[in-house]
Amino acid sequence: MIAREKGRKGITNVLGAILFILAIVALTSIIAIVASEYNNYVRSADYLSNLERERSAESLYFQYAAGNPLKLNITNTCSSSIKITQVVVHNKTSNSLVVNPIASIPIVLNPGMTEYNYSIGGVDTASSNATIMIITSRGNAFIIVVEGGKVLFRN
Amino acid sequence: MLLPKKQKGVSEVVATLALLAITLVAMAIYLQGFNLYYSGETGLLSGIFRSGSEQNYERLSILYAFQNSSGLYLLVSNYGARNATIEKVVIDTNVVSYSPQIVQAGEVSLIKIDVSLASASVHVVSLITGRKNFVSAEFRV
Repeated sequence: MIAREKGRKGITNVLGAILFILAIVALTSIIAIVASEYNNYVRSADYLSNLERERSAESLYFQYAAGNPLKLNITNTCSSSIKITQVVVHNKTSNSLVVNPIASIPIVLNPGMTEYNYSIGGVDTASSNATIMIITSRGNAFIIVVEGGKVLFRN
Repeated sequence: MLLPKKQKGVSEVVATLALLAITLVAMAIYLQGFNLYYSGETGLLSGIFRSGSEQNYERLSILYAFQNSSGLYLLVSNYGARNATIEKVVIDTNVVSYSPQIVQAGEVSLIKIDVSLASASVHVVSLITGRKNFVSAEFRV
């Protein structure tokens, strides 16, 4: 009787240890994975809120500089840098869209900085009927309307 | 010549250290395998948060809409950190036929939709992406 009890005792210890290891490994692994993914999610939410805050704060001030071709003075009036990535012109006479009518983009405007005589190729103030979109890297579009010899901004 | 009983096997300290080492190694192997298996976006545990964070990194905006004789054109900007696949287009309350198109991160794309809308009236367009984000805009053609 004594010999058998001794043998059973040893095996039980080993089985217990194995079960313990399995349980600990499974639990800690699940916790580690969920924590890691949650951390990534929080980072993405932070990225989103920062991006949307900066996007809604973007502001450009336009001034008319010359008429043929249309030239503008563009001032960054917000507190963060603005990168103009595209200029799109909707020619309403031919009802067609022209992307990037100038060669000098992208341009970066730091806070308070002005880009003088920014030329919009193919737009003559006197004769054109067009909608111009100044598009930034944060997905904002600043609209300028050229109509009846006038240039209209939404400053 | 037999050793005394207390000298048989390993000491409790060594056994505990061995158990700890085995646990850590097993955990590392298990974690590595788990991460590899669930590296996509549809994994049970990781997918819960991963699909949400991928949605946050995907940002689209509709900048402009105009219509001519060949159809409706939408100027779409992807200002997020992920390429976006536009899978469905809904105009007013109708899902219009549209073949999925990718808008690269940081790019502006012109999307053509084969519809003819009544002019001088206000319409609502919604774009639905592969990550189940949607962006809407109101416009008049």
